[in-house]
Amino acid sequence: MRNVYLSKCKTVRIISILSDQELVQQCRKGDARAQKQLYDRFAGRMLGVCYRYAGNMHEAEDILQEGFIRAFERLKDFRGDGSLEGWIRRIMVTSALNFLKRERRVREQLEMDAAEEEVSSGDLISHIHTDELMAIIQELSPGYRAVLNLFAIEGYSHREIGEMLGISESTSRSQYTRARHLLQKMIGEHYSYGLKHERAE
Amino acid sequence: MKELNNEKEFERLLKRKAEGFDLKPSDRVWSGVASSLQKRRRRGIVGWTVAALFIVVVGPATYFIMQNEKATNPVSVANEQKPESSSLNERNSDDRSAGQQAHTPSAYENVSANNGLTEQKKNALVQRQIDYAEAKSENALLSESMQQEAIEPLSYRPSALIATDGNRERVTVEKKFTPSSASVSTEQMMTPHFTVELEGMPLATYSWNSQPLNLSPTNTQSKPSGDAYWLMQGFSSGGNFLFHLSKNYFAGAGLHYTSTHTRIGLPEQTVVWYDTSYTTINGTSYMTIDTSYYAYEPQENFSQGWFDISFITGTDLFPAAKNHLRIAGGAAYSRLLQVKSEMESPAESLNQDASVISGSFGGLSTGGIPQVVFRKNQLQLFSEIAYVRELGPHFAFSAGGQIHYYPSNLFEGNELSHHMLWLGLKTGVQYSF
Repeated sequence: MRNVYLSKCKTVRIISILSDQELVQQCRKGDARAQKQLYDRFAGRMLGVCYRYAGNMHEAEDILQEGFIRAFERLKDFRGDGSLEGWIRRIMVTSALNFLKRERRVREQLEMDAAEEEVSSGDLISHIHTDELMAIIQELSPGYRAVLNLFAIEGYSHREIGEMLGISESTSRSQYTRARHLLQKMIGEHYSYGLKHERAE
Repeated sequence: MKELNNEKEFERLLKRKAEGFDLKPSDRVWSGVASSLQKRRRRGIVGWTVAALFIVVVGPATYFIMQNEKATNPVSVANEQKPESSSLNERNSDDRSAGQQAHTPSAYENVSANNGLTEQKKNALVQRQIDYAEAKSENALLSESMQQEAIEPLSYRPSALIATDGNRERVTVEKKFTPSSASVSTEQMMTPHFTVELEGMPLATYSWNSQPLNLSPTNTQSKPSGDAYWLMQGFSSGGNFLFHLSKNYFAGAGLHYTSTHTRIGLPEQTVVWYDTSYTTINGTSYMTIDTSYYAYEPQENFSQGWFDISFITGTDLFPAAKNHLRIAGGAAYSRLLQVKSEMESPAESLNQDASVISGSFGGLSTGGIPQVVFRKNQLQLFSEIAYVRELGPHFAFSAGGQIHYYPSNLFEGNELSHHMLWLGLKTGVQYSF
């Protein structure tokens, strides 16, 4: 009995210290525990990524689920050149874009080309909490949200974004500028609203 | 310059905050992922089980029967041993009295003496004639005079018989369990058959099948996005050649054209249905009950199982098939030959070429592979080779293989596009009375 217990402990410990590469190897063999561990390791951060693109938490979880299914299916293609997290993140971004594309949100929105009023920006972003910032990003339209995320956070070029979303490079550039200005405006409004409340209290 | 710096600073802060942002997903996400992984494992097991089953059961059975046939077929021995002399009529006389055991090597010599053809051609023709005579005597379905005609020395004057079974009217009642719906439809199918015979022996049969496709749109609850599940409405037409290589061996090739007018959106789902039909062809009645199980997961897998019971009161085209009860079943499993993501990111290409694993087995003429094409205006190419062996007066065994190729997208509107190749293996047992 004791041996069994020790054996179990040993197994658990071995699994728990697996590096990303070892985890990938185990997952490729179909080890269910390793798959769960890989999921647990990255699900939280990846949901953060999905949430930035999605309209709400339910959609973000749908994208996350689809993304992880794809990731497990394609794990055999992971060569280990870059980080596992980066590889999964790219799959999540692609899943999110596919989701938005299916919902036909991005392109229609971008093609509307609605001119937004430019506003002066400040360094207010550093004063607000991350949760609040994400909530504000959620208020942006899906098209703006996608371009903003892809350029400012994921680091894609406008040429790449254009190809990914099926729009021109210049459209991506102009829409990003508008998205950024709009976000800054919304952050400003949010900040001043908070300030008023603080003073009132 | 200041503006540009502000922009950079804004982006830096935004990125820093976004990268540190994480959330806890609900349990349903992992449940969905785990269930998908489990399904993949299960499908892999099913695919390998089907392949293993075929290798273990059908392969040896076919080999055994072929060996058995070789051992009891004196013509092949006759060809190897260059027999002395005898007459075909004598051989046939023995044949009639002693059935299949009465083969003598005389046929080869007799025909050889009468004609100036090459040895190989003579052998083939003699083999064909003997096989056909055996089939007729075994089945006892043809008259004595026909048997006499079949064993006369060959004159090598080809004559052709063209037969057609005309219009077919079919009433179908089907019930789908998931999602629940029922429909009744009436189809008019043109199914002419053309058979070419040489001196009374069938050489090739060409059958043409044209039918309207009319299946109802159905909803499914299998995905939260509530995708609609549309089946086709259109027209399908095509046919295939069946060559009678000998009494037991058949080979076929065909081409089918399908035009559909609705987009197919097949979400992951499982459908079980049964289908009862009553068909008349020029006074011949067919009653069939089909049960099918379909599991669709269009992005990667397609599997199907079916079971068919037919009662056929008779047909003028194939006298041997009169009054027979046919029980056949099969299963098919396929993976896509190529999977290509529609959205290609230059930063990370998700293109993937996956090798195909597919296989199916079914029974007799109904085949194990569905001849349904889910693509607008698509040509489907297929060919088939089959071995049929009568096991006594009532039973028949068949084994064969098929290859199908779908040259373009199967699931229009789906984010995945691919070519699809089916490799099918089939076997079945038939009971006639």
